[in-house]
Amino acid sequence: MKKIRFPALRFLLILLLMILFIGCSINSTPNNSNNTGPILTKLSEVHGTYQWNDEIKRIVYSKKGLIEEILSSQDPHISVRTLVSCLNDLSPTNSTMDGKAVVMGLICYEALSQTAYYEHTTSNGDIAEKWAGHIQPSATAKELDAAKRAWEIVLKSKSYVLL
Amino acid sequence: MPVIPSSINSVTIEFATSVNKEVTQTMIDGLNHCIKSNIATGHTLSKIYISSANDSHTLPSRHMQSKAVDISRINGTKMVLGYPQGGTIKAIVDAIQNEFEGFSSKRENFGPHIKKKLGKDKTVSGHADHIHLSVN
Repeated sequence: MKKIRFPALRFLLILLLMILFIGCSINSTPNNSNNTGPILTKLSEVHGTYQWNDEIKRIVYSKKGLIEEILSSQDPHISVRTLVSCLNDLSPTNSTMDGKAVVMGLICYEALSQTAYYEHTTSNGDIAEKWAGHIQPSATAKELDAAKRAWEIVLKSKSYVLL
Repeated sequence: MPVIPSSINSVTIEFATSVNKEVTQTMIDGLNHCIKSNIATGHTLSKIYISSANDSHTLPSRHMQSKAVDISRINGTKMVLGYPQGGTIKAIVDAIQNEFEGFSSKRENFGPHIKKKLGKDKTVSGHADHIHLSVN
């Protein structure tokens, strides 16, 4: 290979290599590390409803399959972290209960409960009666806040279980 | 300590990668009692997915005492998705939980169908997404 004698030409060559390197780095960034926004947007846009299910005697979300589809593009551990972060988000979504829009925090909880669970125990090792991380579709802003805090502790101790 | 086998009464047992399969013989006996391919009349149980056994929890959890198992999928379907739709998944989950109640060393039986401790109704939050079975 011919030696590059001109400093200006050498500088340009180095600059070109740097640009190429940066470009390749950006393109090779894994999808699951920077698509948090799109996934939350997609969850927010789902037109689901919370309805009473007579057979199992509880309120059930109608678009659980679609949530599963949306989350399937992302590593579940990243999903858990993302969904915990939005548990107290009070912005309205396209999903409804009794004709009213439900908040994003509830949809995040719905998606979280399809991804992972946590078992809170008593001092003798049995399952505890209540845990703030479990909420109902009727959850208030205060309960959503408490759920987020409870899940943040679980995240820190990495004690959740993937479904 | 005994290990949960990869097949129980002709039912394939799948495990999450994080699962420590070492549990007490009583826990294995409990699984033998309620995991059967014909557990629900008119439906076939071909496989279950154990999401947690002696792992993923902190002491004093019964999991860490090797006395509890969580089942989160039936025939390859997540319980949290399949149960509300009724049909086979619901029939099998209901049957597993009902059958476990007949096991003499049962302790906790929490899932989408029933929530019982030592044979009595018990209020606990969660457990619409998996069955938690524990023994004394």
